[in-house]
Amino acid sequence: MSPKFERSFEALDDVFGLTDRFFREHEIDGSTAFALKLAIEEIFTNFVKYNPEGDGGISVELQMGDDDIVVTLVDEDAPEFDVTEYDKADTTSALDARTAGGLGIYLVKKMVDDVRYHHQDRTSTVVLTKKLNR
Amino acid sequence: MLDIQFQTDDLVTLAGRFDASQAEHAMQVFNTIESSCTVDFSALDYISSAGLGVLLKAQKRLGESGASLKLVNLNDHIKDVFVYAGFDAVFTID
Repeated sequence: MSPKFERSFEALDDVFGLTDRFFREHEIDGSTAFALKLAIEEIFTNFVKYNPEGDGGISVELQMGDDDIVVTLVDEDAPEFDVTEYDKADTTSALDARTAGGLGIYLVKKMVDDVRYHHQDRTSTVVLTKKLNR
Repeated sequence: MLDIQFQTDDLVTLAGRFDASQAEHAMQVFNTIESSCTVDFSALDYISSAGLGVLLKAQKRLGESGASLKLVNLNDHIKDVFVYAGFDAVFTID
């Protein structure tokens, strides 16, 4: 069974506890670990932000492949809402016109190699794939 | 956890992890800065878009009075995030 976390930003401490144990256990380099932590936080916090009333927690699972790491985040009580579409970040405007909207998912797509959203039976799933630096 | 310390009126140090769970508290602290200030990242391990959002709001507010934040000692991973986000164009980074 995948580890499940409370639907709140405060649960990030526990989420990072899980990721850090996984990275230590599999001797993952700092660059890959940083990228995955950021991608996991952005998807997890989007699930929290856009579905605060959902029932139950959000599960996070990391799986080691031969040449990649696959992370699966699941919200089992969610309307269909593809958080991964919201990636239109403003990275060029002058300071006075700049906002941080869309930056999270924009960064996720920079940091990992593949991002997929799937929704079925009130369950939203995001799968992140990051190739290993080997 | 994120630790924010004012070493002097114009030098703030960040330590730990600047994630979404720390953004609200960090915003309150950064809202107390009223003039140009150096932010030392040497003990900061991690930042996400939530942390970037706090820094951007502070930079915009200070910019209205001609002041700014200068960011120093960013680790390579954090520097990459600033470059991806185009924040290297709106902050002085040393």
